[in-house]
Amino acid sequence: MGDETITAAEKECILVVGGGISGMTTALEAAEVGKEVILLEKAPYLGGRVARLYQYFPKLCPPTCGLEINFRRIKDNPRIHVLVLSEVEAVSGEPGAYEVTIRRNPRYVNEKCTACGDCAEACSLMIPNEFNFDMDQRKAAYLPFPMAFPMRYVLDPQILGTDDAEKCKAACKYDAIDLEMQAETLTAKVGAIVVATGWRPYDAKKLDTLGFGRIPNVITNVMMERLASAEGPTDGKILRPSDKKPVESVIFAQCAGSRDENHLAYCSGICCLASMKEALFVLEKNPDAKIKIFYIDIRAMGKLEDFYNRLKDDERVEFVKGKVAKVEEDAATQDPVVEAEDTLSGEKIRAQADMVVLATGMEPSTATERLPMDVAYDEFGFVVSDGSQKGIYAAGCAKRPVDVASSLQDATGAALKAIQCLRR
Amino acid sequence: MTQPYRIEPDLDFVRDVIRSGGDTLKKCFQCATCSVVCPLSPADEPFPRKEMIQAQWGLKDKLVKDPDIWLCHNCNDCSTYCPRGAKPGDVLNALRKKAIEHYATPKAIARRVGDPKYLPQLIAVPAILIAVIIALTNLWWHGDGPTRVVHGETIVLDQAIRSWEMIPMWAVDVLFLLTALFSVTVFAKGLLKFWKDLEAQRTRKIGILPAAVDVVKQIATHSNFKECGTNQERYLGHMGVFYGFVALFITTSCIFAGVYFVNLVVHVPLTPWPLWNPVKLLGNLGAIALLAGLFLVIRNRLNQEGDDTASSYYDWFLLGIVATVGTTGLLAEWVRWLGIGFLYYILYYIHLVAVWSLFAYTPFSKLAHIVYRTTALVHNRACGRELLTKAPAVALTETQGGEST
Repeated sequence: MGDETITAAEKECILVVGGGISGMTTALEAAEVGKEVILLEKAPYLGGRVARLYQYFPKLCPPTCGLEINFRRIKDNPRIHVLVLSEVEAVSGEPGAYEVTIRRNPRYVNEKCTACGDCAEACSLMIPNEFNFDMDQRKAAYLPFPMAFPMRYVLDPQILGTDDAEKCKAACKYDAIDLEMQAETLTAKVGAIVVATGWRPYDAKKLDTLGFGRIPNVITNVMMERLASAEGPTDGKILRPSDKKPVESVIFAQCAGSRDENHLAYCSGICCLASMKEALFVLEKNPDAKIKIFYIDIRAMGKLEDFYNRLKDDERVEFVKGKVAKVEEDAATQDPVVEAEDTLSGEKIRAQADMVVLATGMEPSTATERLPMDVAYDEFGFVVSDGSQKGIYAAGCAKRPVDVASSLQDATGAALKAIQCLRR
Repeated sequence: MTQPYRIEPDLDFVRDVIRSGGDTLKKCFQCATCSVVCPLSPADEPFPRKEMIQAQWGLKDKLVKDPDIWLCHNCNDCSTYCPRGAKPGDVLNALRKKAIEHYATPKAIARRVGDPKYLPQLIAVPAILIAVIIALTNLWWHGDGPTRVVHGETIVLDQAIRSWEMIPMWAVDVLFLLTALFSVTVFAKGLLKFWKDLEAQRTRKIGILPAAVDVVKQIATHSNFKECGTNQERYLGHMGVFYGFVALFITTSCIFAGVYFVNLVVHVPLTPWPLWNPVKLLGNLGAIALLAGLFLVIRNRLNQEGDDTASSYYDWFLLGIVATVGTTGLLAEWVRWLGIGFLYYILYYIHLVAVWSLFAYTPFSKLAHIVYRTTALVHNRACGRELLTKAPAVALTETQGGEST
């Protein structure tokens, strides 16, 4: 394998757009039964949203474990052609015979990179670390995360033309830095396309009463994953943003934007479990911590109810039925104060904690960035993939908000549909 | 809340609320965003979340006597933030209509005021009544030559246009006094019942008088209205209409007192009084404030129509009467200055019909809120249940996981 060439032009090939857990799974399932696959990813690494999680629910295992196995399988499979930093520019043709134009953006680091890190060492230019939701900064010459795949450094385009760029180039013993690298356009012939463009967290700044962006100690659930992660901005200690104090109490505000026709009208499906899981992160780091989870309904489907029961039985965790509709800041302590009506007692309550975590929902990536191919979208921007459309299929969160386990099943199904569409 | 409560759903009530503008009622999924974003909702037993579920369940008995539907000033912050488009603002508006119908008697009128198909009947009553009075009074009163005796004064008729040329002032006054007496009686009956219901729900902690003084201050400054987050224009509009009415009430009272009482001591000139007369000036300013406020209120309704709120027939019924009273009153005055007698008398006739409707239908129309809302505010204040206050902030670390909810 490699991310340099497309050798599959002659053969029957599947294009998978998106290198997150769904895209990787689709690619592997198809490749492991003998099909050629081009796996396209916009970011410089595979793994997508899953790579940024601390632990999965309900087993509370690190996603790096599963990612590592998948990376291994991809690395070992000559039929998977990984193209990172790449986007689809145009698609023509018909089911069974598409011609795809791909734009590959420059990495400024070539295949000679050994990930020794000397370039980062030499670089002094710091840029906001998008991987950690801008909670810290990283070098402009960076490895996206410690077990990134491809295991290769990246130069942020902002470094170009600075002294740092030259310093990085000089520091590289392997002549791996190529500051002249340009974006290239590639074409490929494929028989089927699987859209696995995934999701992004809903922009919490749009929830004007909940204080995100205004009150420093109001964060989102995806940020909490990074705070808990040993590779995150706080080295795995859950410290609140305003004063880096280890948190002793955390409030989770469910349905922050989800099930709300002013924002995301649908239930994102995963946030209840995600918050309960993150409550356990807090308790893992600080067993004396106090947690309050404000909810409309707890949606723990099927066997996941066991997980809910486990938290309900934990006296450090309290569930309050009532949506947080307002968050203010206590000026003296910088503690956020949430306001809700406890609908079981019928009284309004205001609860104060070190930190508030907004359970923001999943917005499809295609809500705003439409794909340059003939696919239908539902009213929320999810790709419609109901079988009526041949040749282009969606998988995972591109289709609807689902958890990782469901994404894997869906991705396998999408691989099968794509295979059936190839010319035999 | 803690006592077992046997739910006896009144399905007709639910249907009626839905028909009266609360058609979004069933969308509510009880998240209570409304209770929190409402700037007026108190910390203990906040509204309107509980009203939404009670209305879904058809708990008419609870809702019609619920003071909280009156604490709401219909600013619609709840509807703006409602994640389901359940429009609690509109539902509460519909519930208020049901409460007015509940307390107002005779029910036959209450039912007719809320239903557009009876509008012709409601207009016909004052239209015929006043026409008959005009006809009768003209028959015998206009029969005595070029002079008239008005309030004991013999007037030689000239070309001036005077309202009492069409209908004698005493006839108007007798009619409106009787009508007002009717309304006051209806109100008194409803109010006593409402007060009894309020007393049964919460215990007063302070006297009615100090509570009433506070409430009057609130109303005078529209301080509750000012809290409204998303809809500041309504505050100005309502303020205009409110003070317009106050000014017009003072004007009318002054003229009434002048003609019937002061006139017994010193000579009070016959109406119309000149424009520079302070009382007359106040009346004109009142009419302008009323119409300007009404313009804002109507424009605001039309702007908001759709997404966050929908106006019902009940809303437009009141706005229609007030608009007719204001415009015909002011237009009649202008036409009189212009000397167009024919048009003046027509406008004045319509004006009388509209004012009579306002008087007679007030206890049954949305305008009844002046009585019920004020009462609910006073009682609530007396119970020490403060609006605009927040629950104390409790730190999670203080409750130690012991406090159960």
